[in-house]
Amino acid sequence: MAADSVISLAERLKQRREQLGLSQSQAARELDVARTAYRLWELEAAKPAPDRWRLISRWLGVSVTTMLLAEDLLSEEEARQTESVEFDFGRAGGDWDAVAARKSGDFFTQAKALLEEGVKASNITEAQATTLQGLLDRMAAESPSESTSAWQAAELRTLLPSNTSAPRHARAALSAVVVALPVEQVETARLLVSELVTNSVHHGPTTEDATVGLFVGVGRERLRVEVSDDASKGARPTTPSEEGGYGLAFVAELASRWGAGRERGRNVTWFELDLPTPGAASL
Amino acid sequence: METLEIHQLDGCRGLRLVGELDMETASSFEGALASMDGSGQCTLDLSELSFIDSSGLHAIVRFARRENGNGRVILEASQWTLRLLEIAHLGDDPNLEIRVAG
Repeated sequence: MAADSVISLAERLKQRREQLGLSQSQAARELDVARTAYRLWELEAAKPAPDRWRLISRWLGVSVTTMLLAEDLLSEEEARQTESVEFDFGRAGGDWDAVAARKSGDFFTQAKALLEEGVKASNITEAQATTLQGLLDRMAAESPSESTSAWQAAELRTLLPSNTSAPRHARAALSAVVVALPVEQVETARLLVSELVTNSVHHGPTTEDATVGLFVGVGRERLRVEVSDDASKGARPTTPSEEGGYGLAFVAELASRWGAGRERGRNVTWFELDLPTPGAASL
Repeated sequence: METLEIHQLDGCRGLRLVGELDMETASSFEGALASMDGSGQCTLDLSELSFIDSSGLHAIVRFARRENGNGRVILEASQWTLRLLEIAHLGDDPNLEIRVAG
Protein backbone atom coordinates (compact mmCIF):
# COMPACT_ATOMS: atom_id res chain seq x y z
CA MET A 1 0.00 0.00 0.00
CA ALA A 2 2.78 2.40 0.91
CA ALA A 3 4.57 1.71 -2.37
CA ASP A 4 1.31 2.35 -4.22
CA SER A 5 0.79 5.67 -2.55
CA VAL A 6 3.79 7.50 -3.93
CA ILE A 7 2.68 7.21 -7.55
CA SER A 8 1.41 10.57 -8.76
CA LEU A 9 -2.05 10.99 -10.18
CA ALA A 10 -0.58 11.82 -13.59
CA GLU A 11 1.40 8.58 -13.61
CA ARG A 12 -1.60 6.52 -12.48
CA LEU A 13 -3.81 7.97 -15.20
CA LYS A 14 -1.27 7.19 -17.90
CA GLN A 15 -0.67 3.65 -16.62
CA ARG A 16 -4.38 2.90 -16.38
CA ARG A 17 -5.12 4.33 -19.82
CA GLU A 18 -2.34 2.30 -21.43
CA GLN A 19 -3.47 -0.79 -19.55
CA LEU A 20 -6.97 -0.33 -21.03
CA GLY A 21 -5.48 0.43 -24.45
CA LEU A 22 -7.25 3.78 -24.70
CA SER A 23 -6.29 7.00 -26.45
CA GLN A 24 -6.35 10.22 -24.42
CA SER A 25 -9.62 11.17 -26.16
CA GLN A 26 -11.22 7.86 -25.18
CA ALA A 27 -10.03 8.16 -21.57
CA ALA A 28 -11.39 11.71 -21.46
CA ARG A 29 -14.78 10.43 -22.64
CA GLU A 30 -14.85 7.77 -19.96
CA LEU A 31 -14.12 10.39 -17.31
CA ASP A 32 -16.57 12.88 -18.83
CA VAL A 33 -14.09 15.69 -19.34
CA ALA A 34 -12.69 17.59 -22.33
CA ARG A 35 -9.71 15.94 -24.04
CA THR A 36 -7.57 19.01 -23.32
CA ALA A 37 -8.33 18.74 -19.62
CA TYR A 38 -7.40 15.07 -19.56
CA ARG A 39 -4.17 15.71 -21.48
CA LEU A 40 -3.19 18.39 -18.93
CA TRP A 41 -3.85 16.00 -16.04
CA GLU A 42 -1.39 13.52 -17.52
CA LEU A 43 1.14 16.31 -18.05
CA GLU A 44 0.65 17.49 -14.45
CA ALA A 45 -0.06 20.93 -15.94
CA ALA A 46 -3.50 20.92 -14.29
CA LYS A 47 -5.34 18.95 -11.64
CA PRO A 48 -8.88 17.68 -11.72
CA ALA A 49 -11.38 19.57 -9.58
CA PRO A 50 -11.93 17.76 -6.24
CA ASP A 51 -15.48 16.75 -7.08
CA ARG A 52 -14.07 14.67 -9.97
CA TRP A 53 -11.72 12.69 -7.75
CA ARG A 54 -14.17 10.01 -6.74
CA LEU A 55 -15.03 9.20 -10.34
CA ILE A 56 -11.34 9.15 -11.27
CA SER A 57 -10.45 6.96 -8.30
CA ARG A 58 -13.06 4.44 -9.37
CA TRP A 59 -11.71 4.45 -12.91
CA LEU A 60 -8.19 3.95 -11.60
CA GLY A 61 -9.28 1.28 -9.17
CA VAL A 62 -7.65 3.03 -6.22
CA SER A 63 -9.26 4.76 -3.28
CA VAL A 64 -9.65 8.51 -3.00
CA THR A 65 -7.50 8.18 0.10
CA THR A 66 -4.63 6.80 -1.95
CA MET A 67 -4.94 9.72 -4.35
CA LEU A 68 -4.99 12.26 -1.52
CA LEU A 69 -1.95 10.64 0.04
CA ALA A 70 -0.04 10.80 -3.26
CA GLU A 71 -0.92 14.47 -3.60
CA ASP A 72 0.35 15.16 -0.05
CA LEU A 73 -3.11 16.08 1.21
CA LEU A 74 -3.29 13.39 3.88
CA SER A 75 -0.72 12.04 6.29
CA GLU A 76 -0.06 8.30 6.21
CA GLU A 77 -1.77 7.89 9.60
CA GLU A 78 -4.90 9.71 8.41
CA ALA A 79 -4.85 7.71 5.20
CA ARG A 80 -4.70 4.41 7.10
CA GLN A 81 -7.69 5.34 9.30
CA THR A 82 -9.77 6.64 6.45
CA GLU A 83 -8.97 3.67 4.25
CA SER A 84 -10.34 1.17 6.77
CA VAL A 85 -13.54 3.14 7.33
CA GLU A 86 -14.09 3.57 3.63
CA PHE A 87 -13.74 -0.19 3.23
CA ASP A 88 -16.33 -0.88 5.98
CA PHE A 89 -18.64 1.66 4.45
CA GLY A 90 -18.48 0.02 1.05
CA ARG A 91 -19.01 -3.47 2.48
CA ALA A 92 -22.07 -2.29 4.41
CA GLY A 93 -23.76 -1.42 1.14
CA GLY A 94 -23.05 2.30 1.04
CA ASP A 95 -22.93 3.39 -2.54
CA TRP A 96 -20.49 6.25 -2.62
CA ASP A 97 -19.45 5.48 -6.16
CA ALA A 98 -22.95 5.97 -7.47
CA VAL A 99 -23.00 9.42 -5.91
CA ALA A 100 -19.71 10.35 -7.49
CA ALA A 101 -20.74 9.07 -10.88
CA ARG A 102 -23.66 11.46 -11.09
CA LYS A 103 -22.77 14.13 -13.53
CA SER A 104 -24.24 17.17 -11.85
CA GLY A 105 -24.84 18.40 -8.35
CA ASP A 106 -22.45 19.19 -5.57
CA PHE A 107 -20.45 16.13 -4.68
CA PHE A 108 -19.78 17.29 -1.12
CA THR A 109 -23.43 17.91 -0.31
CA GLN A 110 -24.41 14.54 -1.75
CA ALA A 111 -21.68 12.70 0.10
CA LYS A 112 -22.59 14.32 3.42
CA ALA A 113 -26.22 13.28 2.98
CA LEU A 114 -25.08 9.74 2.24
CA LEU A 115 -22.97 9.63 5.40
CA GLU A 116 -25.97 10.73 7.48
CA GLU A 117 -28.07 7.99 5.90
CA GLY A 118 -25.30 5.50 6.65
CA VAL A 119 -25.30 6.43 10.33
CA LYS A 120 -29.11 6.31 10.55
CA ALA A 121 -29.18 2.85 8.98
CA SER A 122 -26.37 1.79 11.36
CA ASN A 123 -24.18 0.80 8.43
CA ILE A 124 -21.39 2.85 9.89
CA THR A 125 -20.74 4.34 13.31
CA GLU A 126 -20.78 8.04 14.06
CA ALA A 127 -17.04 7.89 14.66
CA GLN A 128 -16.51 6.38 11.23
CA ALA A 129 -18.77 9.00 9.68
CA THR A 130 -16.67 11.67 11.34
CA THR A 131 -13.51 10.17 9.88
CA LEU A 132 -15.00 10.09 6.41
CA GLN A 133 -16.26 13.62 6.90
CA GLY A 134 -12.68 14.62 7.61
CA LEU A 135 -11.66 13.14 4.27
CA LEU A 136 -14.39 15.08 2.50
CA ASP A 137 -13.27 18.26 4.21
CA ARG A 138 -9.76 17.70 2.89
CA MET A 139 -11.13 17.43 -0.61
CA ALA A 140 -13.36 20.46 -0.18
CA ALA A 141 -10.47 22.49 1.19
CA GLU A 142 -8.75 22.08 -2.16
CA SER A 143 -11.55 24.17 -3.64
CA PRO A 144 -10.78 27.74 -2.57
CA SER A 145 -14.36 28.90 -2.82
CA GLU A 146 -17.87 28.03 -3.90
CA SER A 147 -17.23 29.84 -7.13
CA THR A 148 -14.44 27.54 -8.27
CA SER A 149 -15.64 24.19 -6.96
CA ALA A 150 -17.75 23.70 -10.06
CA TRP A 151 -14.82 23.60 -12.51
CA GLN A 152 -15.03 20.22 -14.06
CA ALA A 153 -12.84 20.26 -17.11
CA ALA A 154 -9.45 21.59 -16.07
CA GLU A 155 -7.92 23.74 -13.45
CA LEU A 156 -4.53 25.13 -12.71
CA ARG A 157 -3.35 26.52 -9.42
CA THR A 158 0.12 27.97 -9.01
CA LEU A 159 2.15 30.57 -7.14
CA LEU A 160 4.47 32.92 -9.02
CA PRO A 161 7.24 35.07 -7.52
CA SER A 162 5.89 38.63 -7.39
CA ASN A 163 8.21 40.44 -9.81
CA THR A 164 8.14 41.89 -13.31
CA SER A 165 8.36 38.47 -14.94
CA ALA A 166 5.16 37.31 -13.20
CA PRO A 167 2.82 38.52 -16.00
CA ARG A 168 4.80 36.56 -18.61
CA HIS A 169 4.80 33.40 -16.48
CA ALA A 170 1.08 33.78 -15.83
CA ARG A 171 0.38 34.11 -19.57
CA ALA A 172 2.45 31.01 -20.28
CA ALA A 173 0.63 29.01 -17.59
CA LEU A 174 -2.74 30.15 -18.86
CA SER A 175 -1.85 29.35 -22.48
CA ALA A 176 -1.22 25.73 -21.53
CA VAL A 177 -4.69 25.37 -20.04
CA VAL A 178 -6.72 27.24 -22.65
CA VAL A 179 -5.07 25.66 -25.67
CA ALA A 180 -8.32 24.35 -27.13
CA LEU A 181 -10.30 27.59 -26.84
CA PRO A 182 -11.07 29.93 -29.77
CA VAL A 183 -8.23 32.31 -30.68
CA GLU A 184 -10.09 35.46 -29.68
CA GLN A 185 -10.86 34.11 -26.20
CA VAL A 186 -7.25 33.05 -25.76
CA GLU A 187 -6.02 36.49 -26.82
CA THR A 188 -8.44 38.19 -24.43
CA ALA A 189 -7.61 35.85 -21.55
CA ARG A 190 -3.86 36.40 -22.05
CA LEU A 191 -4.35 40.16 -21.92
CA LEU A 192 -6.60 40.12 -18.87
CA VAL A 193 -4.46 37.73 -16.83
CA SER A 194 -1.46 39.91 -17.63
CA GLU A 195 -3.35 42.97 -16.39
CA LEU A 196 -4.47 41.37 -13.12
CA VAL A 197 -1.01 40.00 -12.38
CA THR A 198 0.66 43.32 -13.27
CA ASN A 199 -1.77 45.03 -10.89
CA SER A 200 -0.91 42.57 -8.11
CA VAL A 201 2.84 43.02 -8.61
CA HIS A 202 2.43 46.83 -8.59
CA HIS A 203 0.30 46.97 -5.49
CA GLY A 204 1.17 43.80 -3.59
CA PRO A 205 3.97 43.39 -1.04
CA THR A 206 7.50 43.95 -2.32
CA THR A 207 9.33 41.49 -0.05
CA GLU A 208 11.52 38.91 -1.80
CA ASP A 209 9.27 36.00 -0.90
CA ALA A 210 6.07 37.75 -2.02
CA THR A 211 3.94 35.67 -4.37
CA VAL A 212 1.08 36.08 -6.77
CA GLY A 213 -1.44 33.25 -6.74
CA LEU A 214 -2.99 32.17 -10.03
CA PHE A 215 -6.05 30.01 -10.54
CA VAL A 216 -7.34 29.13 -14.01
CA GLY A 217 -10.49 27.06 -14.39
CA VAL A 218 -11.99 25.97 -17.70
CA GLY A 219 -15.56 24.74 -17.63
CA ARG A 220 -17.86 23.88 -20.48
CA GLU A 221 -19.32 27.38 -20.61
CA ARG A 222 -16.83 29.65 -18.91
CA LEU A 223 -13.20 30.37 -18.31
CA ARG A 224 -12.44 31.76 -14.86
CA VAL A 225 -9.16 33.30 -13.74
CA GLU A 226 -8.34 34.42 -10.19
CA VAL A 227 -5.24 36.34 -9.19
CA SER A 228 -4.35 36.86 -5.54
CA ASP A 229 -1.72 38.60 -3.48
CA ASP A 230 -1.24 38.93 0.26
CA ALA A 231 -1.26 42.71 0.20
CA SER A 232 -1.72 44.38 3.55
CA LYS A 233 -3.40 47.30 1.80
CA GLY A 234 -7.14 47.04 1.38
CA ALA A 235 -8.92 47.57 -1.90
CA ARG A 236 -7.24 47.82 -5.27
CA PRO A 237 -7.06 51.20 -6.96
CA THR A 238 -10.03 51.65 -9.22
CA THR A 239 -9.77 55.17 -10.58
CA PRO A 240 -8.76 55.31 -14.25
CA SER A 241 -6.45 58.26 -13.60
CA GLU A 242 -4.00 56.06 -11.74
CA GLU A 243 -1.30 53.99 -13.36
CA GLY A 244 -3.00 50.74 -14.26
CA GLY A 245 -6.15 52.51 -15.36
CA TYR A 246 -5.92 51.15 -18.90
CA GLY A 247 -5.61 47.65 -17.51
CA LEU A 248 -8.82 47.98 -15.53
CA ALA A 249 -10.51 49.46 -18.60
CA PHE A 250 -9.57 46.33 -20.57
CA VAL A 251 -10.89 44.06 -17.83
CA ALA A 252 -14.14 46.03 -17.56
CA GLU A 253 -14.65 46.08 -21.33
CA LEU A 254 -13.55 42.58 -22.34
CA ALA A 255 -14.47 40.31 -19.41
CA SER A 256 -17.95 38.79 -19.24
CA ARG A 257 -17.80 39.33 -15.46
CA TRP A 258 -15.10 40.50 -13.11
CA GLY A 259 -14.64 41.52 -9.52
CA ALA A 260 -12.38 41.83 -6.52
CA GLY A 261 -12.54 40.79 -2.90
CA ARG A 262 -10.65 39.38 0.04
CA GLU A 263 -10.37 35.69 0.75
CA ARG A 264 -8.28 34.01 3.46
CA GLY A 265 -6.23 37.18 4.02
CA ARG A 266 -5.38 37.60 0.36
CA ASN A 267 -6.68 40.14 -2.13
CA VAL A 268 -8.33 38.35 -5.01
CA THR A 269 -9.20 39.82 -8.38
CA TRP A 270 -10.96 37.67 -10.92
CA PHE A 271 -12.58 37.62 -14.32
CA GLU A 272 -14.67 35.22 -16.35
CA LEU A 273 -15.09 34.81 -20.09
CA ASP A 274 -18.16 33.10 -21.47
CA LEU A 275 -17.15 30.50 -24.02
CA PRO A 276 -19.04 29.94 -27.27
CA THR A 277 -21.38 26.96 -27.09
CA PRO A 278 -20.14 24.16 -29.36
CA GLY A 279 -22.17 24.10 -32.53
CA ALA A 280 -23.60 27.58 -32.06
CA ALA A 281 -22.85 30.22 -34.67
CA SER A 282 -19.95 32.44 -33.69
CA LEU A 283 -20.79 35.98 -32.69
CA MET B 1 14.50 36.42 -20.14
CA GLU B 2 13.71 39.40 -22.33
CA THR B 3 11.09 38.61 -24.92
CA LEU B 4 11.14 41.91 -26.82
CA GLU B 5 13.35 42.84 -29.77
CA ILE B 6 13.74 46.53 -30.54
CA HIS B 7 14.94 47.60 -34.00
CA GLN B 8 15.70 51.11 -35.31
CA LEU B 9 13.61 51.85 -38.38
CA ASP B 10 15.53 52.32 -41.64
CA GLY B 11 15.13 55.72 -43.25
CA CYS B 12 12.94 57.38 -40.68
CA ARG B 13 12.89 58.15 -36.99
CA GLY B 14 11.29 55.33 -35.08
CA LEU B 15 11.34 51.81 -33.70
CA ARG B 16 10.03 48.44 -34.81
CA LEU B 17 9.07 46.07 -31.99
CA VAL B 18 8.96 42.28 -32.20
CA GLY B 19 7.83 40.03 -29.37
CA GLU B 20 6.04 40.86 -26.13
CA LEU B 21 5.67 44.32 -24.63
CA ASP B 22 4.61 44.09 -20.97
CA MET B 23 5.72 45.00 -17.45
CA GLU B 24 8.99 43.11 -17.90
CA THR B 25 10.04 44.58 -21.24
CA ALA B 26 8.55 48.09 -20.96
CA SER B 27 11.68 49.49 -19.30
CA SER B 28 14.01 48.53 -22.17
CA PHE B 29 11.43 49.94 -24.59
CA GLU B 30 11.38 53.21 -22.64
CA GLY B 31 15.17 53.22 -22.62
CA ALA B 32 15.20 52.88 -26.42
CA LEU B 33 12.65 55.69 -26.76
CA ALA B 34 14.70 57.97 -24.50
CA SER B 35 17.90 57.40 -26.47
CA MET B 36 16.33 57.90 -29.89
CA ASP B 37 18.20 60.52 -31.95
CA GLY B 38 16.78 63.41 -33.96
CA SER B 39 13.53 65.22 -33.76
CA GLY B 40 10.22 65.48 -35.55
CA GLN B 41 7.70 62.86 -36.47
CA CYS B 42 8.35 59.40 -35.10
CA THR B 43 6.96 55.98 -36.02
CA LEU B 44 6.47 53.07 -33.65
CA ASP B 45 5.75 49.86 -35.53
CA LEU B 46 3.75 47.65 -33.14
CA SER B 47 2.36 45.37 -35.83
CA GLU B 48 4.80 42.53 -35.14
CA LEU B 49 4.17 42.39 -31.40
CA SER B 50 2.70 39.09 -30.32
CA PHE B 51 1.55 40.71 -27.08
CA ILE B 52 0.98 44.18 -25.66
CA ASP B 53 -0.79 45.23 -22.46
CA SER B 54 -1.37 48.38 -20.44
CA SER B 55 2.29 48.57 -19.36
CA GLY B 56 3.21 49.01 -23.04
CA LEU B 57 0.45 51.53 -23.68
CA HIS B 58 1.47 53.60 -20.66
CA ALA B 59 5.06 53.75 -21.98
CA ILE B 60 3.82 54.89 -25.39
CA VAL B 61 1.51 57.54 -23.92
CA ARG B 62 4.26 58.93 -21.66
CA PHE B 63 6.56 59.15 -24.68
CA ALA B 64 3.89 60.82 -26.84
CA ARG B 65 3.25 63.44 -24.14
CA ARG B 66 6.98 64.24 -24.03
CA GLU B 67 7.12 64.46 -27.81
CA ASN B 68 4.18 66.86 -27.83
CA GLY B 69 5.16 69.85 -30.00
CA ASN B 70 8.09 67.93 -31.44
CA GLY B 71 5.97 66.00 -33.89
CA ARG B 72 3.32 63.34 -34.05
CA VAL B 73 3.85 59.79 -32.95
CA ILE B 74 2.61 57.37 -35.58
CA LEU B 75 1.60 53.91 -34.37
CA GLU B 76 1.50 51.00 -36.81
CA ALA B 77 -0.90 48.64 -35.10
CA SER B 78 -2.73 45.36 -35.62
CA GLN B 79 -6.54 45.23 -35.46
CA TRP B 80 -6.32 43.83 -31.94
CA THR B 81 -3.96 46.59 -30.75
CA LEU B 82 -6.25 49.18 -32.38
CA ARG B 83 -9.13 47.78 -30.33
CA LEU B 84 -7.10 48.15 -27.14
CA LEU B 85 -6.13 51.72 -28.03
CA GLU B 86 -9.81 52.50 -28.54
CA ILE B 87 -10.84 50.93 -25.22
CA ALA B 88 -8.13 53.07 -23.56
CA HIS B 89 -9.61 56.15 -25.34
CA LEU B 90 -6.33 56.71 -27.17
CA GLY B 91 -7.93 56.40 -30.62
CA ASP B 92 -8.48 60.15 -30.78
CA ASP B 93 -5.44 61.26 -28.77
CA PRO B 94 -4.07 64.39 -30.53
CA ASN B 95 -0.48 63.24 -30.00
CA LEU B 96 -1.04 59.91 -31.72
CA GLU B 97 -1.82 58.85 -35.27
CA ILE B 98 -2.85 55.23 -35.57
CA ARG B 99 -2.39 53.27 -38.81
CA VAL B 100 -3.74 49.77 -38.99
CA ALA B 101 -1.33 47.38 -40.64
CA GLY B 102 -2.34 44.73 -43.12
